[in-house]
Amino acid sequence: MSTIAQEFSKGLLKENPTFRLLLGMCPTLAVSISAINGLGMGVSALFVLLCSNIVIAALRNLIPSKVRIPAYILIIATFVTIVDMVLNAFTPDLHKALGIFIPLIVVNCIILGRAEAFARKNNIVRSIIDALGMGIGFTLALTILGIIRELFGKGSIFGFGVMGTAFEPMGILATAPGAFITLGIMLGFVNFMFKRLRIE
Amino acid sequence: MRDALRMALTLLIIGAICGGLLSVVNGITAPMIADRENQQFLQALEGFFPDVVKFEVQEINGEEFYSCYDAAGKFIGVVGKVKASGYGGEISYDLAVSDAGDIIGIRISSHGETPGIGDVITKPAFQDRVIGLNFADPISAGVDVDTVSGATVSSSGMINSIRRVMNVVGENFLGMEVEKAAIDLTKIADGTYTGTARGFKSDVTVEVVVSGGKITSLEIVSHDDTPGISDNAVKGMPQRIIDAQSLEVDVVSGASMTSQGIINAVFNALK
Amino acid sequence: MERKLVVSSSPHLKSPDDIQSIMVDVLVALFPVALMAVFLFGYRALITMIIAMVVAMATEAIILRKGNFFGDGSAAVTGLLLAMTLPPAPPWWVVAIGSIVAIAIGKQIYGGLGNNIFNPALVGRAVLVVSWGTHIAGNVWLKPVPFGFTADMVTQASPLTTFNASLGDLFLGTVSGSLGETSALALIIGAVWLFYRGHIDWRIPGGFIGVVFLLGLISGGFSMGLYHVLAGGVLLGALFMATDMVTSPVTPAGKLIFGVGCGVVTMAIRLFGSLPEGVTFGILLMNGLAPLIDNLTLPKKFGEVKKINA
Repeated sequence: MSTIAQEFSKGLLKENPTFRLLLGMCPTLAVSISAINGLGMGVSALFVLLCSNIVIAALRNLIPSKVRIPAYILIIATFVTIVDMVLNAFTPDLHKALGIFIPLIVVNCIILGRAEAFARKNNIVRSIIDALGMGIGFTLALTILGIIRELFGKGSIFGFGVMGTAFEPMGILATAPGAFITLGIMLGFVNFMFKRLRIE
Repeated sequence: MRDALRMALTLLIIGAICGGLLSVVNGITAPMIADRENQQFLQALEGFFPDVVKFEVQEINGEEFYSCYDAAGKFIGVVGKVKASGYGGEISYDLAVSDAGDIIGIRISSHGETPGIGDVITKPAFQDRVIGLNFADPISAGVDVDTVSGATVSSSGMINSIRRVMNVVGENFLGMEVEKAAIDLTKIADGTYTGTARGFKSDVTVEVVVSGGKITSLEIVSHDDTPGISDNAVKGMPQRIIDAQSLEVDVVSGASMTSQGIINAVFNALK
Repeated sequence: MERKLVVSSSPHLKSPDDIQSIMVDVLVALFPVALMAVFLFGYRALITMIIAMVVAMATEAIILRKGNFFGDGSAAVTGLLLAMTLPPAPPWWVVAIGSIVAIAIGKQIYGGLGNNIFNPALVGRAVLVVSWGTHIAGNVWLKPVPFGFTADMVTQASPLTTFNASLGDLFLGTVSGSLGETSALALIIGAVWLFYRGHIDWRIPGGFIGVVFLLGLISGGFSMGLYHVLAGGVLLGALFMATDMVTSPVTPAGKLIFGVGCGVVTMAIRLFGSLPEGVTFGILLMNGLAPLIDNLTLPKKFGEVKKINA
């Protein structure tokens, strides 16, 4: 049995959903255009993951295993819809920027994956730790990608211009090819660092 | 059997709880969302009518029109969210018309026109020609309103569309008679009439035969619009007009400029 | 002395060419083109070429952690080819970033020379075009001034947008355009050297230029066909870029298909696309297809017989 600390940190580093497991690539590529979008998407997914992990872990002995997938999807979809409505009411700009990718959290592999691989076999406390680790790992990854793409693609971070007026942004980073290039370079960098530091 | 029942029951209970939860959240957020959207629309409308405090939405032929009212509840004008066909595809724009029928403002919200050429429609160079025109003014591309040289297709597409929108606005909101709709076939003497109007890039000439108050034959005498694209309009439009015995017919999609040209040519022939 | 049995894998026959000698040959072939660029566009062209080459070589040396700055010479070739595709005087940092991208992302990330899928110089150019289009393809075309080494900058439209240059000017290169693409004469002289040394095969440039001519001919007659071949980057692309050994097919039939494909995509972009020039994306697209083309055109092995269905 791993300790609580290990359970938490695996989502950040060793099993980081974006950089190590390559899960949830679709929102990663699509919304990491700016730091705030990445952060917003990450926190939304974190919230859904946390809630769904708690509920699924709590109900793990009650849900018959043959219908567990539809049950999970129902639970996840409920929380996603809540996030969608709350974002629309309180942060309309972010809601508009993330657009279709909020409803699409329903089919994000990280969330169903954690439900299937972890929450249905572990108790509530451990599921919460797992959700926090994975969710924060996903949030961090998206925010880092967002910061890189926003910094060089638009010359700002979280909307604040930091590169001065003479800076001419590298437009390609703000486009879809830029998402692939940035993600590819980050994956290579993370793999390189893991090899270096012998974290395996 | 017991198994199946248990599964169905579990799903039912989960579904019911989820549904209940959602309706609670929706009850809280829905009014906030509606309120905010209302504010956003108002802000957008204020750009044209600074006095606006209330608006009503009406949909006409798939396009939305916002009637604006001031604090005293007086009707002050209409903003239409409408579309024109340009060189690079569809142009979406807002057209604001005052209660007197004057064009107050125009705002292009999206377009696919060539940067540096067709995008002149987003600039004062083009927009100043349009703003201030009245419903009663004749608005026809290249005749009454100059097109922008080098961007003929983009600007004439806009001007033709503005004429169309002005007709819709005049008829529905300002209570004005639209001349085009007023062609009365029964009052036209039997005979053969020819008329010409601008199509996509050439003049379209038609020959219309009227007998007994009906259009019995309609022939496109000449045109030089893009082969392949305009073909459908040339083939389809005459039958549509004869079938409807009216000029109020749908245009052929993909060849709307040529179609409109044919309609205008018939109008010119019969007026 | 103990006798050792040496067992090595193929190839067992070696040609006297090594990578460095080939790269030097390419540099020699590019010399007339570079000379023509300096002759027409003055010292600015020289600066652009030097920045591109030095930054490319520096990037390669840093990534490979090698003391030898020139290395196998491939970085110098990439840098120079990149400069050839740029307008005469873009800002220095645009050129430098182009070189860094070409070497780091276009080549080394794939594992270095021989492993890259796409032509590195064109990767660099594509990134620049998408990122800083105004500096690369905007109002940047200098009017050529023969012998005007330090002449003032006067910009004019590129012949691919105006379609009014004379064929003679296009052949000599006294038109505006990218550094290495204006002079058909210089490009042909350079290519003749590469043919003579056996580094390029007629099939790729033949297919490429042939198709461009043919489609130009269909679109607007004989002179339009010639115009499309001489104006813009077709000759530079067909003779120096598409023929890159690493990123083009190896089978003879494959090379012809590759060249034809480049030409078709180029002309499709020129005639129907929103960009005036399509050589870069034509070649990059076909680069991506090169392994597939190779697979489909594998020659029959000696003695191979068709399997008969029993």
